[in-house]
Order: sequence, then C-alpha cells, then structure tokens
Amino acid sequence: MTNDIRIISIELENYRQYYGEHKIKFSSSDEGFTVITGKNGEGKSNLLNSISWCFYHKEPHGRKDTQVSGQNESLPVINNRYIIEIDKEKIATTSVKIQLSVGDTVYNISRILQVIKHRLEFIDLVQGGKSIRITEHTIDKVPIGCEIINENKNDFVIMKREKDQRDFHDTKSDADPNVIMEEILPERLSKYFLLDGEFVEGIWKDLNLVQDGVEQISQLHLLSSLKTHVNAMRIPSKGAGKDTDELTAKIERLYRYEKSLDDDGKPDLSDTIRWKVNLNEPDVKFHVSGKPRIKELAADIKKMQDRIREISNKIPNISIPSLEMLKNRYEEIEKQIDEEKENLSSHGKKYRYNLITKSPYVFLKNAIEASIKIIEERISLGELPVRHRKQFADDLLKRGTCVCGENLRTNPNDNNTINKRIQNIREFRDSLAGKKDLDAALDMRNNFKHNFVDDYNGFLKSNFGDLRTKFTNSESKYESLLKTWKGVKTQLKSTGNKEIKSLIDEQTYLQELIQSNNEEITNIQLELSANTKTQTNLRIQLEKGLKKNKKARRLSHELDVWARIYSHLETIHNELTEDIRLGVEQNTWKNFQELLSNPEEFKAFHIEPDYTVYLQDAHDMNKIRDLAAGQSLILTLAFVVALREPTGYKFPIVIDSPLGKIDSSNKYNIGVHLPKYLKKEQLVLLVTDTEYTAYLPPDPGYPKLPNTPVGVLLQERIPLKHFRIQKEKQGKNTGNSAINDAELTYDKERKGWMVKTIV
Amino acid sequence: MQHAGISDKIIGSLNKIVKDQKEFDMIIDLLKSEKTFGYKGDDDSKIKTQFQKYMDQHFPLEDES
Repeated sequence: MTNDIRIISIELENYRQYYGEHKIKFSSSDEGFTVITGKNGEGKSNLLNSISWCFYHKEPHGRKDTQVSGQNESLPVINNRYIIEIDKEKIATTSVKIQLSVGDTVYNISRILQVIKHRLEFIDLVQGGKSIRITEHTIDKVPIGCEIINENKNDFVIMKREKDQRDFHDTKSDADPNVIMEEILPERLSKYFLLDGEFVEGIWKDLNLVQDGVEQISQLHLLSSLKTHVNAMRIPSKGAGKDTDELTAKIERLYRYEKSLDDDGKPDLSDTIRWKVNLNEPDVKFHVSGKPRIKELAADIKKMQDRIREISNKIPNISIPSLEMLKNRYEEIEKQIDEEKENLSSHGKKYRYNLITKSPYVFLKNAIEASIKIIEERISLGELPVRHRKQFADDLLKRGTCVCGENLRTNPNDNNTINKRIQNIREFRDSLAGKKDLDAALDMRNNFKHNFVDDYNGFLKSNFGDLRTKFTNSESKYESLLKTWKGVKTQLKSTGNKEIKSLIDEQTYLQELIQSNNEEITNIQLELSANTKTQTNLRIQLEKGLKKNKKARRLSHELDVWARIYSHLETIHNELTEDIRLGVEQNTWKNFQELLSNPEEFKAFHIEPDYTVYLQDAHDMNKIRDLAAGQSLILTLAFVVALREPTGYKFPIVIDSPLGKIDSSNKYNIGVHLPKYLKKEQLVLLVTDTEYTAYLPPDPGYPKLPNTPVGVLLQERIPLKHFRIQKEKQGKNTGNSAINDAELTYDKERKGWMVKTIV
Repeated sequence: MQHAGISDKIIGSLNKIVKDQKEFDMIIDLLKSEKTFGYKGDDDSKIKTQFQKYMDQHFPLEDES
C-alpha cells in the first residue's frame, strides 16, 4: 500500500477573481509535473489560497505581495461580479472542491460559503470607479449587506471512497471533518507543501520551522506528547497504604513542578508578566516552573533577539550625517559579532564533541598499547590472520609451486600425490570460510597503530589542540568585538541623539534580560535533571511497595504496564529522532549540492540535535542566515524534498513563483535535476512566463551555460501538464481570471517559447 | 497510511522494538488518540480517562493472573 498523498483535482466556483466554475485536473503519477502559468496579480497565489481555504478555512498566501494583498483585503471571498449580478434576497454560493487521494482512498473535500444578498454598500475609489465595502470581523470577508447562512454548519464536508468501493460516503458519522482533515494533511504541515515566497525566504531565519518540519512531518512530536501523557499515568491513585501514598505524593509534587501544575492539576501561573514587543499587547503570565517555563523563557529570548536585530537595523538608518562613520562602524562590528558568534558556537560544539568521544582513547592509551603488543606477539609467533592464510593458500594454488619447491600442478605421471597436495591446500583454504580469528583484532591494531599510537601527538593536535585553539581564538575575538561594539554604542549614545540613545538603552536592557533568562533556563534544567533522578528512585520504591500490598494488585499491574509502554516509547523516540534528523541532514546536503550551480561555495550542512542549522562556507563561516534569495530557495527545496524520505511522509508540493529570484546557472540546475528527485511525486509549479519560458540570460560565471528556458529543460526530462491563468481585460468579465488547458510551444513569429491556451 | 495515520517509520520501529502484540496494539491506540488530542487540545483528565480505557481493554487484570 502506498502512502502518497496527491491532489487529483480542484474546482473553484465564484472564488475570489475566478468568476463562474473552473476546474484543474492535476497530473497523475505517470503524467509528471503540473505547471500553472500566469502573470503577477492574475490569481496564482489565490489558487494556493483556495487550497488552504478549502482545507483549513484560511488564506495565508501572498500577503507580502502588495498586489494580492491589496486585492484580498479589499475584495470579498465571493467573486465581485457574481455578487453584483445576483438578484437581491437570493442565495449566492462560493465553493472550493478538492479531490485528494491517500494511497487507494479518495476524498472529496469541499468548503461552501453561502450568503443571502440584501443591499450592498459601495465606496468611491481615489483612482475612479466604485468598490464593494466588505465586512471586517468575520473569518470570511463578505460584502456588507450579505448575510452568511451556513456559517459553522454543513459548510465543510469530506466524502470518502475506499479501495473497492463504488460510491463516496459522508465521513460526518466517523468524526468531525476538521479532525479528519487533520489526519489527512495536518494544517501545521501545510507550509511545507503549499510553499510561498514568504516561507521560502523565512525558513532559514526561523529555525523553529526546521524543527517543526522534521518533528511534525515524521510525527516525532506525537511520540513526545504521548510519552508525557503516559508518564502521567505512572502516578497511581492513592489509597493503597500509608507508605505508598506518601511516595505517590512525592512523585506527584515532582511531576507538578516539571509540568508547572497546581494541586488541582491546573496550569500554575506566576504573577510575572512575560516580555512583549508592543506594550499594547495583552499581558501574558509566566508558568511557575518546569518545562513550560523553560519554553516561555526561550520563546521570549527569541523575540528579544529579533527586536535587538530590528534595533540594529534601525540605528544605521537614522539620518544624522555627522554620525555616518560611527553608525557604519556600529553596523560593521555587529555583523562581525553575528558571524563570530556562529563560529564560536560551531567550534565549541565540535570541541566538546571530541572531548566526549575521543578522550576515552587518551585515558586508555596504555591499555591500547598493551593490546597492540599482544596482537603483534601472536602474529610474530606465526598466528596469521584468516585473510592472510586464505590469500597464502590461493597464491600457492595459482602459482602451482609449494614454498618447499614441490610441484602443485597436475602431473599425469604422479597424479594421486600431486592431486592430494592440491586437495589438502584447498581443504585448508575452505576450512577458513567464516572464521575471523585474529582478523578483527588486526584491523583494530592497524587502526589504532596508524591513527593513534604512531602519531599520538598528531592525534592530540587534530582532535583537541587545533579545535581548542580555534575555539579559544574565536572566544577572544568575540569578546574583543563585543568590547569594541560596547565602546561604539557609548559613543553613539553620547552624541546627544535621543532616538539613538533610547534604542541603545533598549538593546542593552534586552541583552541583560536575555542573559538572565538563559541563567534561569540553566537553573531549571539542573533542577529538572535532579528531579528526574529522584522520580526514578521513588518509582522503584513505589513499585516494590505496591507489589507487597495485596490490596494494590491492580495498581501494581497497571504501573508495570505503563512502565513497559513508557520504556518502549522512549527507545523508539530516541532511535527515530537521531535517525530522522541525520537522514534529513544528509539528504538535504546531497540535494543542495546537486541543485546548486556552485556547490564548492559550501563545505557542509549540519542539523544539530537542538535543530541549529549550519551551512559552512569554504572559510568555515556559517552562512545560513546570510543566503542569497536563490540559494535560500534551493536549500528550501532540497530540505523539503529531503523531508519526504526519512520521515516517510509523501505529500504534494505546490510552489508559488519559485524561480523568480534565481540566477541562470541555478535555474538551469533546477530544470535539469528536479525531475530526478520528484519523478513519481506530485509537484505543482505556479510560475510567471518570465521565470518559466524566457531564455536564460548569460551568466558571467558560466560562459558555456545553455540558455534553454526552465520549462523546456523540464519538458525534456519529465512529462508536463500545463494550465494558463488569464485575466480578462475587457468586456463584462474585466478583472476576473480564467484557468485554461495549455501547452508549452515554440512560437516561430516571436522566436521564443510560450505557454499557450489550447483552443 | 496504515494504522490510521501513524507514520510508517514509527510503525516500523514499533515492529522492531515491541515484541508483545498486546503492547503493540495498545501503543497504536494511544498514538491514534494522541493525534486527536493534539488537534482538539483536550485536557489531562479526558486523556487519562481515555488511556485508562485502553488499559482495561488491552490489559485487564484477570488476564495477568
């Protein structure tokens, strides 16, 4: 059974700029990619929105695109022309229907919005003409004067047809359609398959997206939360006896600290208010203790760091010509600090890693040397490794002469004797099959001798010395930069500019707050670690106590089961977390290198256990926050494609305007390599003509690069199904868009490639 | 997806690690309900009640004796 999820078709009815009914039937698995072309502002992003609206009742795409933003904020979900044309007091219907397959099961998912049209209101536009006034406080923006008639009931329906079934049936009796939708394609994962420019540009700046991508798509988050809930079941109810009740009470206290719960099991909040960017935001209180508090402190640190960055960008832009040099210096040092901070973290991690993994060799040096001596003594006494003995026998047989000079070839005059010698050697060789004897020890001896004992100083230098030097150098450089930066800030403050002074004060305050939050996180982590040890001991005592107590047979039995279940979950979680993270890391790096035109620019890609991402350039600098738009897109594509394998989750990928900001050489690589990665997968590209059909402009770095358009490169490698979105520019339907079947063809008159509507 | 939306990776790992069929079935049920809790944001008491049901279903005390 395959788990592939594919969008089969999408039907729009009077949705935004799509007047009337429109249908797109996407490529099947044998029909390659689907390409939908259209100019900016003609409805590509709203096609992406129509999927989100149908599945999740949200329209998050294209918000940064001013054209779409302008349209969506001022236009209703219901098509403008349609709502104007329909008679008063009649029902107007807008819908998006999507057919989706999950393996052999097919779903018909539809969201319908119905309104009764009363009296519309219009506003005069500055540029002339009129526009419909729309509501501001409803989820769906509908015209003022329209009454939504099916809000929250019967507007979202999922029909299902399983393998071997003829008809679809309504899933309403199985579960809430929103729950079913979450099972098919969870909303939190939608950003990884409905890709827009905002996500592509932002993912490497918000590393939570990397963690979410890996953990949510692979469902590691399910294992984490299940572990927590199962752990809660390991606290039995009281009443079995005084001793065990006391132990239970102690475990409960520790558990409540960990989860920050009060005596009634409700969230325990402190009076301290969390930090907020904007003072107008409502106050939010901290949890009192444990993991929730750590999470909140860490989230606040992230917000504060963003604010510090924002301030840093603001200061150099304050227009004071006399301070230009000082501001430039401020900006320059801050950039260096950012880079050095990444370096410091990377060197520190490597150094600590080697201390943990390679130090045992140093402590065991004498034992290793003694072992090598024992192995060498045995070899000197003639105890050869199996593979040497086997090789010796093969050589004798091949050479045809024994070491004593006897002939080992078949001799017709003395057939029996010679054959017997050959037979003996063959038997000896065959008897070695499957034996290992000294082989493993010899490999170990060779490995330790060459890499450790013979060059002990080299081992120390490369594994500790060099890394330590790099780490300490980086540390002192970082500290010196911070000192210089502080000096520049003091100078800037003393210039008398109030705005700068206030921003620098805010920045200093936030830096102190971050430090204090970090200290608190460390303290809670230490407390939690001690807490876990105590809990384990108490649980052992409790289990023993309950086993002795006949009245507590049921409790003891259940506790046993929960402990086993918890232990399994922990093993699976640990194993998969490492396995999946490393799998995504390796695949992303492999894909990125193949898709990138200049792979030598980068040396390595790492996703650390805490999901910090490193993309090392040739000078060992981490460039992850400093990528060009094209590189960021390629890395995102590499990552999203990489997520699919180790996580085992095959979802469709729909990308809005992926190639606009990419240079020719990288466009070429995408055109050539993407079909290879996503051969049988569903990829839908929403593209402009320029990014898809235009000849690739010359790239000075690659003078021999063919100028073949991306569309043609793709078409040469994989079947493509084309659609074209076109906005009407005249007649009754002006401003509305239509979706038509299309094809990629060469236009002799224009001497170029085009996606033409099929008439 | 097999087992109502639990990833193949998790199922594969469960198959490898959990040899007892009853424990396996119980973990599948727990994971399935965890998916729904995650979406609905149910409170701890509801989760406990649901989990206790699975315990009674898969590991009733008589069975053990």
